[in-house]
Amino acid sequence: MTLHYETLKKWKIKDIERTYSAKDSILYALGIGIGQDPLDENQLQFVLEDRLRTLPAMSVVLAYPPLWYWERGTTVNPLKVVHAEQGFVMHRPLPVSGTVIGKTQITAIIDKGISVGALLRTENQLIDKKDQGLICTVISSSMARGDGGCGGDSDDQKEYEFPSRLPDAQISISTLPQAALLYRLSGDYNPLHADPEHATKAGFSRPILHGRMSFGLANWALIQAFCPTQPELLIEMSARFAKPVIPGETLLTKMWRKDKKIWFCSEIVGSNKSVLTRGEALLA
Amino acid sequence: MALDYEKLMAWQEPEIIQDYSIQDTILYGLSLGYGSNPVDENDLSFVYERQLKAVPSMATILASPWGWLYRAKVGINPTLAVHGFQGIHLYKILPVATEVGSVLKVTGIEDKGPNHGAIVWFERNLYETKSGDLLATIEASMFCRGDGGCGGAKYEHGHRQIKERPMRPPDFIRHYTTLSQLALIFRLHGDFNPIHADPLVALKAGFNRPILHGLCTYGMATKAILEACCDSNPKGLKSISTFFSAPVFPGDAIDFRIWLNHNSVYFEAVVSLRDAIVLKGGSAELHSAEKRFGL
Repeated sequence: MTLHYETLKKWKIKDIERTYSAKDSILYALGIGIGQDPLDENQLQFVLEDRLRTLPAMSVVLAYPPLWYWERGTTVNPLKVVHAEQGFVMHRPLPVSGTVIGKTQITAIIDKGISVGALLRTENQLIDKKDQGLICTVISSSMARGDGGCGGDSDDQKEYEFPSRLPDAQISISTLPQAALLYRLSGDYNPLHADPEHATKAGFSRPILHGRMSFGLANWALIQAFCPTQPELLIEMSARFAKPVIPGETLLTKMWRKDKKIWFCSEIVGSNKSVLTRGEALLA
Repeated sequence: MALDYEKLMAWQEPEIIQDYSIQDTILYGLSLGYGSNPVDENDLSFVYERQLKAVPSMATILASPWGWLYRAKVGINPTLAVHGFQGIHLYKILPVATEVGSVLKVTGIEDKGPNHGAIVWFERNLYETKSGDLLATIEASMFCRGDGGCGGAKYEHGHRQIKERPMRPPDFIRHYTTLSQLALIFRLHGDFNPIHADPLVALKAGFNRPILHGLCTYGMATKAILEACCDSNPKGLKSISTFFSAPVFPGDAIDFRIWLNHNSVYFEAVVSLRDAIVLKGGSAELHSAEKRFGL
């Protein structure tokens, strides 16, 4: 059995409601590794309740339906699905606490061919329950590697070209060996990120970091480089996942800026292993 | 205004009830350094939900009336008050998730005289609400450096005198490096005293940077003893107590020196780089080797 385009296109993903506290926002920031310099005010703003701000990338973990494609009847082969792309567009700053509703729709099923798979794109509207205002649009893509050749929507890949010069900024962020164990407390309990046996079965030598955490690390790198005291100025961001990060590795993010537009990519220091490619971001 | 002896001795603290989850138990394990080797089965057993165990010292952070001595408004000078002693006596294995309750009681005030401070002793029993089972007795003291000469009955905690360190080199040494952000993580257990997080508040209290929670160092000592003497089996520990003798700063590397004599442990903790003994007069009682190692 293979992916049935019409069925999946009409598939309804259930809304998610999530109430989170300032403590949850702090735990998310600590999970990313913020606070490594506990005297740096630009880090303390994400971890101290008396001056708390949120990292925009937290929007992508708050009310996203995890593993929705595991539900019966989607026709997707869930065993072969990997997280492929992540992005967000902020409409207003994410509150440090509150109740949010996530409404997710499948927006595109792109057939990349039998040997590659089908790219499943979703859009998650993150809504503040208090006033029903839209906080953020989260765009995620997963590659269903077992479902290529399904005959989906036409490819919409845009041109991507960053300035051909040395990066305007480079930020490296080290991760802790226990980073995935701390990060998962923000809600993604997939054993791939904690259980060595499970990781081996999935083809990795040891548990890997969450893709959304790599994305969060790059988000923090961008903020450090371009808006360290005003994180809310970073209003758009997107990237493609190339390789997973192993907890303990150091992520180097290279950034180019032209006016409000930023291009970036992230790699592992010392290995030239690309982790995030086709990175783009926008400042307000 | 000085410490009001009568008022403090008669102080009644309301009962605290706390419902804690496996996430809380995992976060506690992570905050003691478990998981720093993320593929080590033993480390994982304290930070991963499959076959999860609770570190016994977690009793100290459960259903705790954090900051009660400052809220009590009994005249103590809070900026000069420091954690003096911590001990627990364990009756049952801590569940990895349940609802617990406890009531704190002041047990005594030890007046060291003017210029020497006063020690406020208190304890609480931690029980599981569902079963009514008593899980642990938690005893602690705050050393109120600005409140000596408060008067009242002379109170002596005779059983809490610091014991002599054995004359031989330690039988075990466990070396742990703490994370620079450790206090920021540990405070999520409930002690939001800004002295552990806000550089300006720490400076006002006389420290050039925020200090680590004493209860975190205490938890690491528990980890060290479990690893060195109990094959990391929480069932092996009966009781553990220590005096706090100097602050630890997040990022410090700490040596836990452990002497084992039959089922009794003496321990201390040292930050070698600063030549500081941070825990002294530590003592622990273990169950028999058969029980510790599950023979």
